[in-house]
Amino acid sequence: MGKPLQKEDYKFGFNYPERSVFKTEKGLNEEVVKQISSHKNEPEWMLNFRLKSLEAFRRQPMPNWGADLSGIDFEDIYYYIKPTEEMTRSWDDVPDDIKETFDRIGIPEAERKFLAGVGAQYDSEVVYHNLKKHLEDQGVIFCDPETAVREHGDIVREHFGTVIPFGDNKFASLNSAVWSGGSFVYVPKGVHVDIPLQAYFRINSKNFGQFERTLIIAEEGSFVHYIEGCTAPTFSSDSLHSAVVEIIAKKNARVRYSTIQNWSSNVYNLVTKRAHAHEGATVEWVDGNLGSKKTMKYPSVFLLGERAHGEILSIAFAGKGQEQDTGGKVIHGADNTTSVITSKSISKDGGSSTYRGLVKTKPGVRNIRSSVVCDALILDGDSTSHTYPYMEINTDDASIEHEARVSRISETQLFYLMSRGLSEEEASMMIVNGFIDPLVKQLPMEYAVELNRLIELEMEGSVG
Amino acid sequence: MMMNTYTEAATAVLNKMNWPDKKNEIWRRTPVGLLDPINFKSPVTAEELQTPVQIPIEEAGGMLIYSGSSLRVNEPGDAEGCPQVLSPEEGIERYPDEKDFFFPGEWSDRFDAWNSSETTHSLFLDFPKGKVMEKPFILRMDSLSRDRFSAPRIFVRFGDGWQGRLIVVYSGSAEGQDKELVNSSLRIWAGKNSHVSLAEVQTLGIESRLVQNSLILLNRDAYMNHSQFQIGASAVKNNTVFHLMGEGAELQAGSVYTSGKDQHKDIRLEQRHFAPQTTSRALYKGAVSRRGRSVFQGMIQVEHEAPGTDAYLSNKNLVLTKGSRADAIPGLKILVDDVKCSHGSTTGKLDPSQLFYLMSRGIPKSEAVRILTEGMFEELIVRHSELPADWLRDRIAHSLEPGEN
Repeated sequence: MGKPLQKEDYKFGFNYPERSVFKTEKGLNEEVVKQISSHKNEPEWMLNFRLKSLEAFRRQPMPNWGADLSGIDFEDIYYYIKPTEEMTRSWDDVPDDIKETFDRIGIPEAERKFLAGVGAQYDSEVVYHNLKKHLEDQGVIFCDPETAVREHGDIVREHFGTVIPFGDNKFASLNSAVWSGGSFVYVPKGVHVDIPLQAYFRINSKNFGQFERTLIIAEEGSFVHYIEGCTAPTFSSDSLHSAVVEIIAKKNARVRYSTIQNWSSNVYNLVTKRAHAHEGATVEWVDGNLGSKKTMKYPSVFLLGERAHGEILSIAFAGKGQEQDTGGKVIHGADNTTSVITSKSISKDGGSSTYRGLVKTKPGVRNIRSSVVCDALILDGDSTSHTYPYMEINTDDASIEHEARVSRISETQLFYLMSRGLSEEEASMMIVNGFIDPLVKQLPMEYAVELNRLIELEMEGSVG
Repeated sequence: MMMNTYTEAATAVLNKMNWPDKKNEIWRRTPVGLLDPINFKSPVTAEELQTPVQIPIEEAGGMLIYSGSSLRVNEPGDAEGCPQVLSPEEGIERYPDEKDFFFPGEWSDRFDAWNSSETTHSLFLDFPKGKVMEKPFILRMDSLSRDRFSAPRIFVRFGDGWQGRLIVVYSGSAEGQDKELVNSSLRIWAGKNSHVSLAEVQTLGIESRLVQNSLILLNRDAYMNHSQFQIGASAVKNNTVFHLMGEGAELQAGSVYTSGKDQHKDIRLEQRHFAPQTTSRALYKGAVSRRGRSVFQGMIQVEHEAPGTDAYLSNKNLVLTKGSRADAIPGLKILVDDVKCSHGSTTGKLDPSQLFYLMSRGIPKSEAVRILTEGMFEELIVRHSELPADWLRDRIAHSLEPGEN
């Protein structure tokens, strides 16, 4: 075993004094929405989209299933905070305190090594962004959505809100009304982006709502792997993160979207993520959920074209006071489509993890195959685990399987490892690592290391 | 006296509650309109009774036939282990400690309250403790008449150490067009160390509607082999809840449900573990054809007080023809760490290579489909040797057969 990790080496419980150059009043109304739009110099169609969304948000009831969201006070939140004057393309120009924040998360180091691009979002705005020139030369666009609206308005307007309409659910409507920052990725026909595009999102201000918006368009036959990481410091009052991610994978394209989220324990993390996979396309969600107070997130894939494939791999770690309500949805809307959902959850110190999923076939579609596997590990008597898979099968030509297991760390495995000289904590850690291994294997190396370190931190002191 | 108070309480609740609708998760997929009592008159009388489908069980240790309104047709018999037939009041007088189980004073939904408020026939079967009953005991509930409803409320108590088999049959007319609504409530108490095989066979007429609430409680070291055969009726809303209350209790649960032409079968199961070292196994299998639809909702729930629970739930669905639909929602709710709980669910069509094999041996396709479908249900049919297997196979095949669509 290597040197034990010290908690101080890696934690997000720090924040710098907020130095914003502009923020809206607390609370949500048309004026706030207009201010956000005007600060971004948006075209009228986007302002109208925002205002329609605000209406939809007001109309919709809070979801009454899943996690208890009654603690959210929409009037006690800042919906827009601009942390610095300008977005910069050079790391040297990023203000020192923001830079140090990212430094402690470890981005610059990772980037120095080999990363293609990093878009980093600090509160509402993307402050740093870089993309390797050879990708730009091939026509790949990777920027914040504000820039995309300004510079690639036609592409954005054609696709924005088509996968997740403004009235899709209360939190998607909220995001549609006040979105700020996020990523826009456009991969032209046939282009393979061979190194992952990356973005980091961080909440630095208290009582803040972060509403980034991500739109990924992969044209015919293209490939892209997009990775995001999210953190927030701990404040005494709660924050809200409500992102919307839309992916469009056109004919034979492949998009992989990986997230490692480690929000602090007072963030409500309520995210809508959905992909459209057209003929022969593949969309993969790799979703790691640690931290947050309550997470509700069900990445979904609509398989719209023949031979499309969807894959969702998710892991949730629910620690003290945390509720991880996660899962995945796949809608089989065309013949010969396939999907795989793998979900792993760990509950500890009274945490609650829930898998909530849906596999649905449209009437009459042929030759559908889907497999769902959920494994849950409960580490102590106070923690809980729930599984609610929904399978709505509307065709006579489908093969759908679901399996779920809940157990605790096997005494036999523990005994074996301890008989080989490992402490109970080390042995538990090793078993947990083995449990999440299928997910870790899907991640690029530095993310795998990060995930392992995060799990290790979460597991610290879990024995005895 | 007590019964009047109870009925009044149920009526008061009934008047306050709305009929369940799609906002309620448990009822979201149920065609509540088909179960609307407004379409039915109450209750059936002796003169209106028709002849029900007879389940051909030759060697019964005793039989009780209930038809229509509070009409006991025969005496149950006097074989060893046969139950005493009591009124619910007599039952509670005899077992006052179990009052809260048999008369809980709260109702899960309006159908449940309606059953208590307007019970058309109720009885308390008291199976004596320590006795072994060699032949099965049959409780037949015939509820046959056009546009009528019935609301049977049955209490069963298996005394400590009782061993034997009980068959509950819901019968309808053979090809009858009797549009009737049965709203049934069953509460079963299995005493310590009892060893019970309980089969429920439902072959109501094709226009019948059935709402079924069952609660089955297993005490310490009780064993129950329970199966349901949901074959008839155009709409079924079934809710079977098992409470494993005593340490060492063991449950083996099974169900066969078929949804043929335009039938809707809504099957719900809960395996709730309240005591340590309890075991439950559930195997629920369904087949849909000809625009039939099935909904399976299952839940393994393990409470804090039940470490050492070992539970499994398996649900398999066969979709036989275009236009039919099967939904599966198996769930886990685990509140303690020392458990082994899992569920598995599959939905699919018949294996085309098996079909091809049978057809290559000269078996017509419809016959091959029948053979393979029978094969899927076979392991459940053979769990209850007291049931007429061939008769069951025929009923199952008949309910799924191709017909006009």
